[in-house]
Amino acid sequence: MSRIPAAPATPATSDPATPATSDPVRRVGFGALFLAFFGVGATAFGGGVVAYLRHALVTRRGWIGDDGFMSALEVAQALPGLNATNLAVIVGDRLRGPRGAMVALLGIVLPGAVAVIGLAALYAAHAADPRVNAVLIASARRRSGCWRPPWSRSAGGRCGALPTAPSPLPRWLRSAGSSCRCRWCSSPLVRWR
Amino acid sequence: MSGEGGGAGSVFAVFALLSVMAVGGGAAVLPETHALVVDRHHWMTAEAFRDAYGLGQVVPGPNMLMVMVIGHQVAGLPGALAAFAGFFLPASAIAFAAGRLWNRFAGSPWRDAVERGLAPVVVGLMASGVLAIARTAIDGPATLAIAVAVFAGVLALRRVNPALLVLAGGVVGLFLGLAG
Repeated sequence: MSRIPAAPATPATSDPATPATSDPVRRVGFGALFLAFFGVGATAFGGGVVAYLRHALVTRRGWIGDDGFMSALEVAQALPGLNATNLAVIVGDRLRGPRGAMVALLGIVLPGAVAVIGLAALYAAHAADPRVNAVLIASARRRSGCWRPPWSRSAGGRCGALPTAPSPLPRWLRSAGSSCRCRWCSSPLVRWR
Repeated sequence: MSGEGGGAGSVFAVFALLSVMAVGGGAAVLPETHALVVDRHHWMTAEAFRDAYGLGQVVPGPNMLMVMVIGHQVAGLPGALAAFAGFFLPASAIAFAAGRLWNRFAGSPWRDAVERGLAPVVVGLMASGVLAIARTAIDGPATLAIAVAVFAGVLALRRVNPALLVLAGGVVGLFLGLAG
């Protein structure tokens, strides 16, 4: 990531508040590299991983400059695959070569991967017990703002069958849960039997 | 549930294909994922697919980790690992090669020109994503206030960890929900 030093900084990326670390990249240890990406992977809830990455790599650690980050993001976005993982691969490679790319990729996906496998196992283990899955799914639906699934191309329409479940919860909590309603069809997010 | 033509091998193949189709992020291939997983291979029902999507939303990191839930459903832990490898390795290899190639042209005038042209495209793409989310997430004065406060917070306190703002937003939302 060596730019011509004399290259005029574009106004959008030159920022007086962050010291523009000129791009000769600092040597970063593998451990620190892994921890930085692992930290983003473990705290970036709800998507928007790129913003977390920029904070971790540019603002907080100064490993790459604004220009370097933007350039990597442009390449990452133009390619197939997720922006966040592409970005991790490219930045990891710049900081520590091919092994750095692997470490960065592993770091950013490992926390979520472990968590999602745990949830998938829980989900599969209780496939016969609707109570557990109803709780799991209700919390998931709550997070994702309920259900017009992004892959259904038809606009409008009902949000699909909700799981009905014998409630594992005390009554007061039950009513709190069923007061969460879908934004589009205003059916409750979970129906207790 | 467990469908025809399963096995970790075909899980890998399907997600490797989806991975190289996913230009513009994982959400771009959600319809294709649904079509392949539910309609074509009958690996899971539409309901189970929705649940997998929901589980992908609650874990940190890239939301497309939901592919591991699908793989797990088809072939257990090996299936989950196959889905992971299929979805992340081919695209990462491409990114690796392209990043190096791009780096080789450092300092060349046409590369700088392309970068200057791409920068606003990137900003536009991300802004459109933000707008799409905002349309579903902002539904009144309270959520609008939270969004504006977080936006101002990120701009003003440059070094604050965004995760803290997310946490703060969650706490505020909790109290508003309890009050409402």
